[in-house]
Amino acid sequence: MDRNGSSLNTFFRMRQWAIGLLPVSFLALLFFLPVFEILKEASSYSLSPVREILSSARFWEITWFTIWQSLVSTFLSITFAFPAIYLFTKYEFKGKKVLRSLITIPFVLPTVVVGSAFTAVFTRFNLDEGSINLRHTVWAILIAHIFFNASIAIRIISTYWDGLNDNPENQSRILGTGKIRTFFRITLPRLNPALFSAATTIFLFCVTSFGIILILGGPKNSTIETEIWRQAIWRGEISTASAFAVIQLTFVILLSWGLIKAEKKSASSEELSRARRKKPLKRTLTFHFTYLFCLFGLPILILLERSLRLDGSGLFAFFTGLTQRTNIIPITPIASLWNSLRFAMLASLIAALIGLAASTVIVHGSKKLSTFLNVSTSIPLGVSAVTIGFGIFLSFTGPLTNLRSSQLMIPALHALLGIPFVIRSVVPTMRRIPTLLYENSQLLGVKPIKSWFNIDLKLSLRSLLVGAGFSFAISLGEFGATSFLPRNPDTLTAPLVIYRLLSTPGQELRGQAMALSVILAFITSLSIFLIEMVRKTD
Amino acid sequence: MTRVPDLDNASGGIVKRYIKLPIAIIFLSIFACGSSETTSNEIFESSVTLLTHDSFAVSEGLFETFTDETGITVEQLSLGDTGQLISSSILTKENPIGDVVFGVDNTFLSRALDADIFSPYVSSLNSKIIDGLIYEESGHVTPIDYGHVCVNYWKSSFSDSLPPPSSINDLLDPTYASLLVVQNPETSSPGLAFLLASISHFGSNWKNFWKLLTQNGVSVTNDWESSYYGEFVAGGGKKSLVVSYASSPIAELIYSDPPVEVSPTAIIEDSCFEQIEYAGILKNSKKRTQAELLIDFLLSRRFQEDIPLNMFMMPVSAEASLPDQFEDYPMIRNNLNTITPAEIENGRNDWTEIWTETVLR
Repeated sequence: MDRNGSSLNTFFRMRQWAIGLLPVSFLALLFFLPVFEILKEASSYSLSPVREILSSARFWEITWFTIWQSLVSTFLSITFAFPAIYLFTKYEFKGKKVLRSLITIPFVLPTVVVGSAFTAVFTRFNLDEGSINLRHTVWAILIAHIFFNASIAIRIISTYWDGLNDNPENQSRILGTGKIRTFFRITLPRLNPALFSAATTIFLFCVTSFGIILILGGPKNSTIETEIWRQAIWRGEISTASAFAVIQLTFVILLSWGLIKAEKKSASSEELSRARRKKPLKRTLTFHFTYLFCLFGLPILILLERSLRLDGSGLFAFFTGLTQRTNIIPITPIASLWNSLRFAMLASLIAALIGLAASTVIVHGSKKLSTFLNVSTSIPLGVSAVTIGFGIFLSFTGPLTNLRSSQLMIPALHALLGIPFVIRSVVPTMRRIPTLLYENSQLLGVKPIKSWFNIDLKLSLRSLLVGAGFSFAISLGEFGATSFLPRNPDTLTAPLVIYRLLSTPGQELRGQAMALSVILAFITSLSIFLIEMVRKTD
Repeated sequence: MTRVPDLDNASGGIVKRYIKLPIAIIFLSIFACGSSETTSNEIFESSVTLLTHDSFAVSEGLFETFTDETGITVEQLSLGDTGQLISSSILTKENPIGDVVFGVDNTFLSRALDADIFSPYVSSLNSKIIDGLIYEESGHVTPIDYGHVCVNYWKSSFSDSLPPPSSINDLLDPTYASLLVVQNPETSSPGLAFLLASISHFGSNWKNFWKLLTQNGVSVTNDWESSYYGEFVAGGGKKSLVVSYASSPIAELIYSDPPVEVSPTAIIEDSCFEQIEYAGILKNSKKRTQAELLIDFLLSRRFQEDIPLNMFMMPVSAEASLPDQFEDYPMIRNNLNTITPAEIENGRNDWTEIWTETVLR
């Protein structure tokens, strides 16, 4: 683990501030400054609301619920992802790449669509009344969180596992240890860095989960996130909302700091190599496909069914209807898709660029800067959209005023949420590049910047693309933070149009909303597929 | 040792090839965004920014007629739902994002007025407004449209043997047990409006109404979409009564699929609460003249007649003629004893807390 001797480290230590400047200034503008303004706003109301809230039983109820549902959701998402992780790591089969890109679909589906799809699943299987009642329960929330977040675990962990050889496992098996024991005693600890990486991201995602809690949790379940929104937007109690925001911020910082420490500690000096993959038996494949279907299939099937016109005339009428503008929305739904795509492209490029710079500093830079960047790039995921949105309103004054309603803010905010995915995916890979490679390259007289390019970038390109793919998907589906930015009719994104279509009664509008979601999902998996085609090269 | 030069060679080709393209795209995209911004700067002199909620919509080219008449371009910015629009406008009071705000309704009006974000303007077209819609003579805000939140029912769920409820009182009848879905007044605008409808209908007895409604199996969701498309028959659910808008049956007819002659839904008239949407000029706007002209335009016949089919609300102008589909919009204006915006602002947090205690706990 100690790589102080490496020439690359010395090289980057000297230049870490120059390289770190890009991510730090990006964060400063879009995150620190807005959050600082909100804190200032909160303190201007005197600290009494914080004290008042801390002493109310309801607050502790909400906080406790937020923490435990996030922890349980994270644990379950990773656990349920494992069979799929195993499939993608250990087996080589036809259509693997397609399947891998398909599992990102849950990630971009607007929560209002997924929420109603789950409600429909519950209704169809009679799970909303009688002996098994999932309606408005924590179970409904957990199931939906698994649906949304399992793909994060699958992608992050399988990408990492893919680069581990089988030697320790083989030795353990030779020594007579059982398959299951070997997995728990040998494989799992080796996967720790990726496990923590995925857990941090999923946890933060569950803390700020909004639509799922509101729609599937019903009126009786509130989290800090929904409470901030309710207080700020509905009750107009900005001071109470800011107090909740402060508390959310504090505990998100503490938790991500802890998880990132754990991730770093667990980073081993594993050699980066490639495990051997085998062709699965037909039976194995059938099992895995059935499993994936159970995990992701039902809500998506409901969505597909709703996007089609099943009365016989014009099965795809809702799809063709998307090219026409309806009265209630200023642009055609198809045009909104193009907006989303443009924003997503820009956002994932910004995220990849800044994420790569930050990852380099995190891996090679000094301990302090490394931890700072690692934690501060992650917390935007766990901070309420209300905090960031209102913070931007408050802080972007004077010369920044025009930026507030600028088009560039949308991809920039999306990138802010995409960067942690790039980092969570690149850092574990970069950390285990053998020091030997740098030393050899130094011996050969290769310039440090060139060896970074040849070693770090090349060997983590795969992970970088996985991260970029994620930020692309996030941008396509993002609704929270951007819903706080002022937008003009020409820049409406597809998720916003889906929400608008669903807010007026009428089967035609509803069908179109579903059709647009299907196209959004299709485009996402196609883009992820294309992005990952580049991986062929390694 | 052979691995290192190997890497060296490989990356020279592969990495560079795949890195160049994204970098080119970044620059192109930034360039593209930059250029669109300069064009908007040229017309900066004669533009006015209209802040709205997300449900705002007009026919294509409507604002161009305003530009043709006045030379002023309208920049539209939408800012989420009504609550978000108000909170954002209050938060940015000193340094506003726009000049005119459209979409403050009577349930949020007092909050906006208390925060003193609007400066008064009395349009010469105010005389055309239907009686009783102007809130205060000083003209901090101008009414632009109005509508109603009412209990809707799915017609074919009812029959001669089970006629649809005819009044809000019928909702307590065990015949209609477990048929109604409403929204949480703490998270949904129609939900709050229906709570207010019950308060203005039952007076101090409203708590009892909700207690009995709860006993009769009322279902609650946090948002309108989950009620209407999740639990109501329209979305494949089991409930045949839902809190929605008086214009919902009209939308169901216009956007029906497959097309139908008669709307599948109807409303219960005495369950309605009137919502009036106002526009106002933001105090710190630097474009007073343009903003005043825009308010006049919002009251003009052309804009008023555009409202029903785009926003599913009713025009406030007595001059405006209604599209055919809205001819039958129920005349519920006069028999509603509504609560004033000031009473709403004073009472809402208490009322919603009592409601939560009664219905959810």
